[in-house]
Amino acid sequence: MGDIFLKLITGFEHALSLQNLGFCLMGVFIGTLVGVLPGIGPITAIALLIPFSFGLEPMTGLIMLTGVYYGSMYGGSTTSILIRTPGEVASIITTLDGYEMAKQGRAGPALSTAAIGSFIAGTFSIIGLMFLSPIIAKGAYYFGAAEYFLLMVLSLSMISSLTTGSVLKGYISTLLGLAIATVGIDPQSGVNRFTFGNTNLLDGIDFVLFAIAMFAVPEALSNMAKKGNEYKTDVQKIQGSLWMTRDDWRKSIGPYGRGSVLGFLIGALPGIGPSLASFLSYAMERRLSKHPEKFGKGAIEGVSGPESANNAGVGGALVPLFTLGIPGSATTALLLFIFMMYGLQPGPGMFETNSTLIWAIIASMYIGNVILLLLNLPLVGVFASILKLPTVPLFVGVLAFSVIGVYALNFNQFDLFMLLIFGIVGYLMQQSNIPLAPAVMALVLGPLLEQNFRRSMSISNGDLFIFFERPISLALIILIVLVVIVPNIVLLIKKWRQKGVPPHRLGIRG
Amino acid sequence: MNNIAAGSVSLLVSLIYTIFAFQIPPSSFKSAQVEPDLFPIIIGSLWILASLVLLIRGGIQNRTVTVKGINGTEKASEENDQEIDDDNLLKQDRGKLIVILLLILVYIILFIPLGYIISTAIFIASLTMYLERKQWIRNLIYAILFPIIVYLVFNYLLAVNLPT
Amino acid sequence: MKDNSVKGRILFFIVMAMTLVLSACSSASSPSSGNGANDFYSKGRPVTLIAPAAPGSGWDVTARALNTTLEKERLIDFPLQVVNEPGATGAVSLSQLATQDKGDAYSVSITSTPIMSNYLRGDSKYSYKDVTMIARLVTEYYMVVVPKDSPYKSLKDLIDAVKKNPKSVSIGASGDDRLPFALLVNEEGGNPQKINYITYEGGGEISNALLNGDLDAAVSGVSEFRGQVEAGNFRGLAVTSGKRLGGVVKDVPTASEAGVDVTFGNWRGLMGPPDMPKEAVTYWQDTIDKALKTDTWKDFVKKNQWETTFMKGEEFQQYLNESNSDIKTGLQKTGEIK
Repeated sequence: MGDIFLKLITGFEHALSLQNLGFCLMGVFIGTLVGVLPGIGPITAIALLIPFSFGLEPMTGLIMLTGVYYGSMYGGSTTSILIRTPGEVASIITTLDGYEMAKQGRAGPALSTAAIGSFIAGTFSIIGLMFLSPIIAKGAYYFGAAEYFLLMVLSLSMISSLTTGSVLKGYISTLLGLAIATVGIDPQSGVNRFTFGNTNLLDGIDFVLFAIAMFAVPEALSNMAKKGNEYKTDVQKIQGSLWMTRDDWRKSIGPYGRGSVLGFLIGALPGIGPSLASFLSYAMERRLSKHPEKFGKGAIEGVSGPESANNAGVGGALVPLFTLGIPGSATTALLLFIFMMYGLQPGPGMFETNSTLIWAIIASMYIGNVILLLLNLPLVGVFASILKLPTVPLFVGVLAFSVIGVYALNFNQFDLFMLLIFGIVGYLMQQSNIPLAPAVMALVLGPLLEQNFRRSMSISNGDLFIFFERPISLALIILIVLVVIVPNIVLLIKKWRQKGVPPHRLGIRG
Repeated sequence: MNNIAAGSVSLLVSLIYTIFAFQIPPSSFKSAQVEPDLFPIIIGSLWILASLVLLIRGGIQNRTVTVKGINGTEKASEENDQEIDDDNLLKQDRGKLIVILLLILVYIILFIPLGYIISTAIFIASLTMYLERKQWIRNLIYAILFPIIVYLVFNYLLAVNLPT
Repeated sequence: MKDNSVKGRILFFIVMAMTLVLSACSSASSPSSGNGANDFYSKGRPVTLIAPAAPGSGWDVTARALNTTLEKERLIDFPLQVVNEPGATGAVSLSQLATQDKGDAYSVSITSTPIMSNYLRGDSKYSYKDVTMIARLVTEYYMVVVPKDSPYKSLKDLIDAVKKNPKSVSIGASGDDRLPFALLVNEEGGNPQKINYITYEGGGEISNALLNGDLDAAVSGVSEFRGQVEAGNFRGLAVTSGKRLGGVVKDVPTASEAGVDVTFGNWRGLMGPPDMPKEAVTYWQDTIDKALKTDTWKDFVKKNQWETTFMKGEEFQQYLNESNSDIKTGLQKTGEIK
């Protein structure tokens, strides 16, 4: 333990040098910016900075580039909350309650709680990275195809927590998302599904594109296509304080803590991004809440939890990279490449052979998180004032912004037509009261669910027993039973009791 | 849209999806345990089922509403959606919507040939002018400033090349 | 309202100031003078170097290595920018290059074997014959690995097991990485169509699946497994190169040494749009020839376990035709095409 602190102090000595501090600041600033802008995420920003970083010393360059990575998680929530346009994948869930809060004039508290949650979770995940790396990394690699499949089943069963109205319509939305997820080349068989000979469809539908089409476009369309000639000059009045009230704090503390732990653990699993972490955090908060009916209608916990979880996910994602040399995501794969370009090999032994460098990066992450908090809190007021824009310019801007964001994904005009088509689909769904979020989340979960099921079946030669034979998979099955099946049975029994029909008559015992 | 309309559209799309799902060829590899059409067929079938339920429910709701109209006492069906708290859902102007959609279509067609700045300026100017003609000074300033600022940020700050 | 517009103006000035400062930084890092000027590229008009895949992928790495070398060694005096155009292993980017940039000299792209396999499978309308193939840069070889405590001690052990009971040996390989292993099994008289391939998104996921026991063996580019081999977690059974590779994998035998006479390399090259002007093609061939001889490039090659295999002109065309027919055979063997 003492050893770790000694190393950390040395790390701080390096990280606090004027040069490193300057580039840390630049990294987190650019990170925040790309987080805010839809379409370009941390991976693009890191890629763009690579040529620039070659001119720097390895330590300085890596401090800057990791800064971009965690900095982007801070910025992502901003546009989700203000204009219902997720800045990056991990902030899709934040659109649900964040945007509702903004509509109620509470954009300030929503932005503040996102920034503070990000800070707390970011710091927590660095501590986790320092002390728990070896244990977490071991645990994460025991996650095989069977465990991933069960985790996806668990996640899919939580998808109902994204709906506020009719359950049936939630299912339809989920199925639409799952159906869209099957478009493209099927990796396991090499067969093309639903591509109709179009090259642009071979990789399937990008979920950032789909999220923008489902959230931003319908909102803009329905606001602009209102009947009558008069638009309100002030869309959303900013009510009360820009900061969080005592009540907001009280409600947010729990989600901060739970989101941090959950995000860190999920982030450490290879192949699963912070988007799943933020979604599971949302589902968990709703389940634990005493007033689940307020979720989707501006519950602050629906912002605090997910925003903490996606930041903690970054620290988590660095665990397998630093300790095993395994990149869990595209972004960490790019970081791995940069390490190698500097002549470093992340992996077992990295903490010994390049001790100073690793500890300087860790120390810089503490500093970067403080900088981000100081950078983001004053901006809350500036960002919130965007909402003072009148309806027409605001939503025309949202549309133009969506187009550029989607174009920046792949530099492909075809994507823009997809944006329009799915935007119309989203609009029709919104007009029919079909919730949009389940479709987006199903698009994220669908491929993971299917591919891991089929991988499991290939590994076990079609034997379904693979889902029960390993300790983690068994634990997941028990969890699924506890979370999904038990509460429903309890609910049913309660319903029957209320109606006065004893449960044993209906064939249910005990 | 009411539940009957939504259910019908959903049913139609799900049917088309499922028909295509049955036409997915088998895996290229003989070792495959699960064929690539399994998931799409399951998803499609459940989707058809859910659409049918929605359609039927829409029909029942309509009937209850009529009954309610006559008797004035009947309660609407239990699973009635908690909706219409949002004024967005009401009072949509279909003509306006179509014009807006056409303008977006023109915008994304011109996006590459005209370049980002010009196409975006035209889009913002035409859409704002269509919706709020009185504020023309504001609209024009906005149409010029917005694309230029965004272009500068993307092209220089982030080195993301937009078409010119 | 007044307060609002003041705030807006301040924000605008902040953004503008930042833009100026940072654009000054970035222009300082690009070379100011060069010695490779010719008629085409002398006016400072920027050229786009397309990496037809996501950042961090093999093509992206190649594009960035080339770009860095050209800039660091001051071989070009115009701005060259890497642009990622991911989609369908290059097919999306290829169709843009083949249709929109015809006759143009200002876009070049990294290319590799999928330009052939995509076309052969019918996933792409364009093949290497529809664009200008400028030069071959490097060749990357494949490596077959098993976890360190695997019962398979040699390549023959593994292939024998696959021949005996293909279902019981799960092989991790993504996309075209299936080809080299199919050729190995085929050479030993096994049926490549029966191999139990399991596909993952990337090298990281495959490594993880090998560590946790989901996979019995895996095939991928040598650089993907370099770190794990170095750490002693994986054992390399064979590389598909003609002679042994250096560095971390110097102890891994070639497939021929392991008793299976197969060599298979994934070449990477540079291509331009169709009807690219001749002077421009010559310019790039000469510049790349120079670039590949610099220390900066050699360093990249060493780190990524590539082999520099520069080739141009008629010789390159002939090589492409051979490569194409090899891939066709491979795809037929695995049953992906008839």
